[in-house]
Amino acid sequence: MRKVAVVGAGMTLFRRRLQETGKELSFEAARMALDQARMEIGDVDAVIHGTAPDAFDGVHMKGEYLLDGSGGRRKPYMRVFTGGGTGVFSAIAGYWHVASGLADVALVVNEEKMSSCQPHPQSVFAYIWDPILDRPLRPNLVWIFAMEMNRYMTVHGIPYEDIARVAVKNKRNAVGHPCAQLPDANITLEDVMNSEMMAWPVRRLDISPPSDGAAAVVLASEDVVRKRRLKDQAAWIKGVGWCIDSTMWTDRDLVFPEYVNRAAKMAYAQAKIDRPRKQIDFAEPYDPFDYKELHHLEGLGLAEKGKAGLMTREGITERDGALPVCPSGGLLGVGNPIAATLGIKIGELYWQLTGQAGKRQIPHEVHTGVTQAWGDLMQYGCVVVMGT
Amino acid sequence: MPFTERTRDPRAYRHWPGHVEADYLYTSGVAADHFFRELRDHGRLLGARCTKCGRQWVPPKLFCEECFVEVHDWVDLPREGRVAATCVVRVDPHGTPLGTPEVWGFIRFQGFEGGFVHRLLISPTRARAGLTVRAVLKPDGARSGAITDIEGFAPAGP
Repeated sequence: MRKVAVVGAGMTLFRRRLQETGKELSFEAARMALDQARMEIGDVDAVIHGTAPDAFDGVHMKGEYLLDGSGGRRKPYMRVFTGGGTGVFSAIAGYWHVASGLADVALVVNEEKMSSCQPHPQSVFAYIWDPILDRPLRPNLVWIFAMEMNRYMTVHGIPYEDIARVAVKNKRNAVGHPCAQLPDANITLEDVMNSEMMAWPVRRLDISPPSDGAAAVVLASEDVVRKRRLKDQAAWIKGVGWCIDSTMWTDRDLVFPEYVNRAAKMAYAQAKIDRPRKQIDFAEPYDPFDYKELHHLEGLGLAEKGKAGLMTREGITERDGALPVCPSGGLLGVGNPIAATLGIKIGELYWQLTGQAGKRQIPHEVHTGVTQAWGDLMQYGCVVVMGT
Repeated sequence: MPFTERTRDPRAYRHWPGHVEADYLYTSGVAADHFFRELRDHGRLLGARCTKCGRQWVPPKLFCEECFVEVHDWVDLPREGRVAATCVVRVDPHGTPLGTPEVWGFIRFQGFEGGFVHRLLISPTRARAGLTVRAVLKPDGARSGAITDIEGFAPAGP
């Protein structure tokens, strides 16, 4: 397989974007990424679009609907979808195109316009459940996450405070992010703990906000990086992995995300990482809920089982800690327009590794980062390792 | 509507009728917002012109599909367009015959990419590609700023 680098990234403001269409948001992000890569659409061999359920935008087959805004016209084009995992998985699909030699340059564009769905995008999540076993009981996603969080806390004896600290850290980290929706420099542990109880033990501030937005990255082969003199702005994809667990959430281990662990092992094998805690300098795990950051750090092998909360309490995962985690501000701080979190995950690894993260730049030198997303029916993990 | 059924009667099985309820608010976007306002307020049909390649797009869009750059020049459409393709619809999506057949057309405009798929306000026997047509708009004050402000396209001239 050929070496593949990220050579440009773009991201829109994450907000309720009532005015712009999904196509227009896609265009804005894609154009930014191309500009940073000093490329035009004619330089792009293939376009990969990532976007989550059609039910959010309210356009069936929205990959096709969004393709003109993503620059996909008259090119090899595909839409990929692994639910929340799309935020990282679309970049993996882009990687296949370039690593295989089928494309020299691939443009990856992710979009989500959740606000089209009224009154709240949560309403269409009612239709992801098994129509016979689950739907008649009218379950809500938050209940399921609450049970997973509770199981994780119970088995390991994790105090709620250690989980809430993740929300505090990430919302503070987001202060330096120009696209952020919920940055808060002054948020305290008490603010999170005293926020509205949604479904015990999940409080409102434990959850990332829905949002609208788009993000894009340009992937290029080693030849392109050399010929176009992009070396100084290139961050290399060292390993990719993905894995999915059982359809039924009752058939999974709620304490340990086995699917993330398997995806990580696949990516680490390719990246020649056998001691992740020593070889990885920072991480951008998926944090739609604060406990999920901890869950995922353990799945990624960056924390011992049940110990990620302790690492957070000790400050190890702060931006200036020994293992910065979500220096972007994460989904909790920057926002959660499902697939568009590409900009917070792959985008942040790119900006950090190339020294372009501005106020969010990790103060010490970093050479290897890992990012991960989680999605589908809460049982899917995908992992990308990137390095200088 | 053949599925070439193996079974058709759900009473033989435990079954649950399903219903997916979803409500949306769609906006026309930055470019089309201007298009619809001009249509509503002034009865004008606008396209957008790419300053890089000169291509003109109708309905207008924020970006040129060819150059992938932002587009912000507005141009009026010619009064007359030409039918590129037509069809005459005689049954509805449920297979029920329509009392009056509907005539649909794809209308293009010289010098413009894109066009409109819209009703042709003619009898089925007159539907043919090559016909020169003109947009028939709802009267001033009756337009809301929507694609249905165009009632259809009728033959131009006598």
